[in-house]
Amino acid sequence: MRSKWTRAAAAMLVAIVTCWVAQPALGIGQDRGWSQLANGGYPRQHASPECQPPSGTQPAPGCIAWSAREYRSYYYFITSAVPLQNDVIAAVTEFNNWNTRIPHAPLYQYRSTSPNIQYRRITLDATLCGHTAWWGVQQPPQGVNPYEHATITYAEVQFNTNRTYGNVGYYDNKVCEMRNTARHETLHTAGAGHTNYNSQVMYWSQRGIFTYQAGDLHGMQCMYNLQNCTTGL
Amino acid sequence: MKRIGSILIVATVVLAACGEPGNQAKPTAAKHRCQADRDIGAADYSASDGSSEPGDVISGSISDYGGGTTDQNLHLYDGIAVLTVVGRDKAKVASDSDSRAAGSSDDNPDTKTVVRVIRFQTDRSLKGDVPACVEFTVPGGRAKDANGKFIATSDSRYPEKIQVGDRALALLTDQPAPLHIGTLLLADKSGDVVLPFGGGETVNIDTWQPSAEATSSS
Repeated sequence: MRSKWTRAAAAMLVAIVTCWVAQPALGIGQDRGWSQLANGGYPRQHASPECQPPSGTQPAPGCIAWSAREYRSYYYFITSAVPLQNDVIAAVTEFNNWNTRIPHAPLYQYRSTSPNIQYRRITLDATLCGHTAWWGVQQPPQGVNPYEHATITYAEVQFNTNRTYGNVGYYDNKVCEMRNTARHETLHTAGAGHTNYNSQVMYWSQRGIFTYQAGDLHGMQCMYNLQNCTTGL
Repeated sequence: MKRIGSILIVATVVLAACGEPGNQAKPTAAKHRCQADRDIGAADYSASDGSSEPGDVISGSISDYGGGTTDQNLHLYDGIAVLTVVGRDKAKVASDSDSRAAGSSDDNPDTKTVVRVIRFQTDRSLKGDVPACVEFTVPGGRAKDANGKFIATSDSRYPEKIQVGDRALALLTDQPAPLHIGTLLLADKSGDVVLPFGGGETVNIDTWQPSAEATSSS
């Protein structure tokens, strides 16, 4: 009798541990969390499988990305209405420095004429710290999801006139931390989507993560270097 | 044919339950007669469906919410309502005013987006005075522009696919004006939605009651 109960207890313990391990361990050091613009934004179900390098004879779902395998530099511009512009510039500089570790990843240079990426301030819903709108062109092969195998042609980062922006390290339910907002939005302009892991910059709500994390890097490596494409929404 | 019949049945049932507007106050701009409706967009591709071709234009938006609790965020909305889709128009390339609603640039001619007018029945008005029948322009979908080129638009604040009979939680705001759906969260079969704020809480649209803080005026 005792052994029967012992076995039952052991089975229950295994089940609990298995269940716990299988949870998407939010915010406890996970570093694989990333997604792509092709997957849409949380909380919506992602629209397509994660982008992947080609495999076998089937065309793999491709990432939305700048055509970085042809060009490395793109131009960004910050309009005058954007506050704390030094923090935006610092975020883009950080993005560039970080991208030098990833072959083919884009680098952004400041230029006022015909920018590829524009940082603006417009009126958005009061709950939003930032918003990135992007445009692109569908690339071959034909007949796939329109958000796969696409090249970004223009992106716009929008800061909110309904919000105030704080200096480095300062944010609350009314104030958005500007440098981190710019850091997050800049990664959107390069093709990154959201992650459910709140330990990453690309989490969908401001959580006090003030530097790019392993999952963010992992995503960029997949999108531009076609390496380490393990998923981890 | 069977599918069209099903759609008609669903629409008829839904509309039979949708009476006259119960509240004539706000948002009047979005009010419409909640009558038997067409669903001329039913055969359209959603933005994520196949058959795209090289050279098609794609566009998308992805939004990032601030910090704070769910209640603090909900407090910032002017209206919260549980809606059922009763009709929708064909997706179209946005005009300038539609583009502003979709959050796209107003000074770049190459930044076209696709929108669709969707008509809703209000099942539950949880904050603000949401009329019994409303219609809104919602970003998303796939349509041809004047040059015959396809444009597909996706926006993280709205469902990728939305059809007659779908139920959703709408977070309404008039910033920027006019009153519009800031975020539309499609419910699953059991009525659950995940709120897009820091906590990522799941609520059931049939039973959920927002807190006093959430429903207080912003």
